[in-house]
Amino acid sequence: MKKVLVLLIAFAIVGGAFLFANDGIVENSNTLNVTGYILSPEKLAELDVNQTLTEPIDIVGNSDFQEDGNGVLIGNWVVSTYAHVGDEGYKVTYTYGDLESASTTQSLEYKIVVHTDPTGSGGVDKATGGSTEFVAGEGETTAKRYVRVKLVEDEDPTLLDPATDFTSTITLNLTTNL
Amino acid sequence: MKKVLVFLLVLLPLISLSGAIGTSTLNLVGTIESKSLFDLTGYFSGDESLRLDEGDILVDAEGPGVEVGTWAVAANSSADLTLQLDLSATYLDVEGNPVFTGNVSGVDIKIPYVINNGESTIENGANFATLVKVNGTYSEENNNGSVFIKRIDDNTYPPFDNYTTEIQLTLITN
Repeated sequence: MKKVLVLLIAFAIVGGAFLFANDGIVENSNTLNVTGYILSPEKLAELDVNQTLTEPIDIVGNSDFQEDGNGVLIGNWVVSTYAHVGDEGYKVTYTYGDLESASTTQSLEYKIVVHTDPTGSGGVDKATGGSTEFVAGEGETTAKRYVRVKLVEDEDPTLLDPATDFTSTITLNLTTNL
Repeated sequence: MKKVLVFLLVLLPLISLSGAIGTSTLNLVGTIESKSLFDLTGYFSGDESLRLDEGDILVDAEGPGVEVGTWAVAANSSADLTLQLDLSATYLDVEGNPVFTGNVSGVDIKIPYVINNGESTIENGANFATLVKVNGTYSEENNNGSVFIKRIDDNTYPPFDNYTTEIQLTLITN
């Protein structure tokens, strides 16, 4: 009986030793905190505007620039949207003034025509303050439009004095939530 | 007779001392405390935040993922040391994957990912790295590395700027 008891105690001690050996002793413990984000709502979309026309437009001689022309392609814009949970509405607003010559103090009214087709068909006229609206679906999407310019009706550039410094700036602004 | 005996007893030590040119010793005991230094430094907390829907963290990106921190161990321990990955249940999903968590509009969102040591994916509770002992010590030069994470799905998660997670590494004496 005593031998059995001694064996049991010895077994318990050895077994316990093995258990402790497997557990190990914690020397030190450090934690890495990581903070992450998925684009916040105001960062869910990006607007990229690309100017493709770098040469001056021949205002009188370029047939595309005339009121009955196709318009002169000056660039395009791309809106990229990210990680939408659901559909989201967006609006690109165009703001611009007349073509103006500082040297002759003349001005010339024009308009922009916005196309989905790069060849220039099926465009939509946009006066200053006009906009293009679209809805981005779930996940990542892109929307692209081509921007052309042409004279407005009844504007006759042949009546103006010669000048090489007609300029105008078109500002594009992207907003959410129609 | 008694007086003679007492005198002899007093005299004996004097005789003994006067004749002893013996050897004695000074004992010096020194110790070196067991010491281990374990550093874990993260890149994305506080003002710095990690974008979770772009770049190396994406499931289909090449490589081990995005590097979120570095570790280093230096120790003079004669024992064998291991570095173990220990994740809190708060940051595990039901399948045991580590997750970023965030409460978005009242809904608890979990974004699962895997942890990589630069060579392979490491499961929770497993050894994170094999520590190298040279001449009985662990030098920082031989024992350092990076922590990478990578998402395991391409699901769309709601926009939120405060998804959080914790990655704990524990240095253990075997």
